[in-house]
Amino acid sequence: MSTTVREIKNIVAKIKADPGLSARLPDSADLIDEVGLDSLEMLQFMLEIEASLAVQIDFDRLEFSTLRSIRTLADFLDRMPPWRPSAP
Amino acid sequence: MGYTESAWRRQQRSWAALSALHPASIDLGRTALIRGADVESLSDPHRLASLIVQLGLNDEALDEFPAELHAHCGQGLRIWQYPLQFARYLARLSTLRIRSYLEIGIRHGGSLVATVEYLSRFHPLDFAIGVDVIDCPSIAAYRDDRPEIAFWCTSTQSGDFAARLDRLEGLDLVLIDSHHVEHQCRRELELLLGRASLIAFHDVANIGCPGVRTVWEEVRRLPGYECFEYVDQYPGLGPFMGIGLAVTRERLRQVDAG
Repeated sequence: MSTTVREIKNIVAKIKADPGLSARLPDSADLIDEVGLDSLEMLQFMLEIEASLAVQIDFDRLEFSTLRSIRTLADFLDRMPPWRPSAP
Repeated sequence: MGYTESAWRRQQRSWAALSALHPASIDLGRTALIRGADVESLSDPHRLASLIVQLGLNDEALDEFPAELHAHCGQGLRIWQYPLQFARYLARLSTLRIRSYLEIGIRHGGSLVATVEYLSRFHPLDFAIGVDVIDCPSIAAYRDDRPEIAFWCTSTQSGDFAARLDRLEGLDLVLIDSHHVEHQCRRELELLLGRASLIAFHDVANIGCPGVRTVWEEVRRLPGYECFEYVDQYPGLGPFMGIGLAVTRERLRQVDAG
């Protein structure tokens, strides 16, 4: 299992407040139908992803279909540039 | 109802317009411009609009700002408002003796800081609170200067938010500028009706936020409130943003009575 896949599962488990969830989720798990993230949880999920993986997600390119599999999302995130905080 | 592709598309469009999900730091030194201005010029919407430009505007969704303001975007307080709308709104607030303020959806914190600084020039604030689901580091720094400020990193849809509201002793003004989705906007309104005597909404004129407009129209039909709109536009753009302010008639009577 890749580091990114493991991190996605850990974040999902944290947001759903279910510590055992990360071990139960297959790499192919669908974040919408199987995990059941709603719009607010999706925002929290993306924030956690950016912070923990230190990437800046390109939301122009992130398609709904990418969220249908943890592995597919991990592949997408692995291609994202590093996160850079903007100056005041 | 589950999360749908159309819901994702809306969320994706909003996020794609941001430079990053996490807010940027703001230059709190710009507050000196408000602290150093005379009250007469702060009360004049025209001069106040010029001052707001100098405070610095946000540079996300830059195409919503007219080209002449672009040089002021992405700096200072990063205020995500149209200066000509925000100035008229603030000037109206200055007459209403506001002592407490809650802002829902603060992003970088610019509107919160500007509102607090502005209102404090007319009447001391007992407290002001910013609310957002995303942490806002600039407000922590701002608290060093203004301990009456608080930040709640929470969702307005949570029991935690409702419990925190219950613990507040009185609340004058609320600005709702959060998720811009009709059901959430209405839920926030329901929580705050009866608690705050002034309720404001951002994006009541924004073509991208029809849900906010729907809820605002419901507010305008409520008995017991007088409603004001600040929706001036820049030529060739929008309509974007727009502020709606509902004030209880009781509050207006109290202000008129001095």
